[in-house]
Amino acid sequence: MAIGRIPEPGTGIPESIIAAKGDLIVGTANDTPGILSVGTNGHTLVADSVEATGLKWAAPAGGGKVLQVVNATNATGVNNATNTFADTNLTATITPASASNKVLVIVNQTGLRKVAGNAESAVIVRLLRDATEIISNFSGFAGYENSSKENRVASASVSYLDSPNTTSATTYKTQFKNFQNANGVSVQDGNSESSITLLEIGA
Amino acid sequence: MATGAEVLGMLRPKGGWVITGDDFSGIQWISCDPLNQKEFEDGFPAYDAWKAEQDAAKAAEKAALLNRLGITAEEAKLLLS
Repeated sequence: MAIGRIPEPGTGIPESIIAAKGDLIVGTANDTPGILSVGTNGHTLVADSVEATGLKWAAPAGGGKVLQVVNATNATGVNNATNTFADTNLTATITPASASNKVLVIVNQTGLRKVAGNAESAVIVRLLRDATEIISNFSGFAGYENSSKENRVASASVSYLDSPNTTSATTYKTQFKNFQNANGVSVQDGNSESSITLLEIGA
Repeated sequence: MATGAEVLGMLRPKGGWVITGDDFSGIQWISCDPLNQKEFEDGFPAYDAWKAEQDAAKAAEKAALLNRLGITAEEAKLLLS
């Protein structure tokens, strides 16, 4: 049962102000009632002074919770005989629910190999968000040993907490190159499997 | 059996290329003279023959050295251990 002052006849808020299920009567200014229509299922009411009603419906804040997980793998070897970055073909795309959420990127880039022939060759792997480089080299100079012998390194890994500040589809990927402009370096050598995992973390 | 990277490493040893997998369609020519598909595919048996030749030459060289030293391969291993 509602508790409150019973208005005098003809002075209360008229029933006709309610137009649909879920409508809320809210104050939009002093002595000025208004209506806030029901929000999306699961959304909660939050204060927002920019809104005419001072309120809005919004997705509940994640508060550090994992909201979604995207995982991708690749097991096709790629060999780069240049010092120009090339795609490893390890890539994953995520669409954050809110621009304030973060994305935890976890990469395990396997099958790093320096091909025999050049003493200065080494594998450099970087991480990108769309076209933006976010980690320039997370493999060190894998395989380097100051000799022209072949050298195989199991893997290079990285974890990076990113703030993409968007609700658009966002692609994370790795690229690699040889430290020297020579033959050459490989990833996913022997068709070993690399993986990338994206976790959206609520703000 | 040779890999695409090994074939390119033999035919374009100075680099300038990127290859994904072992198919001609996976090659990007970055800074070297490109091969055509036939040249690339002919490179597989050529690489295998070249590799067998290299391995045979190495084995002969090793045997000749052991012979000059007057020791067996097992004795050489013991010396190096």
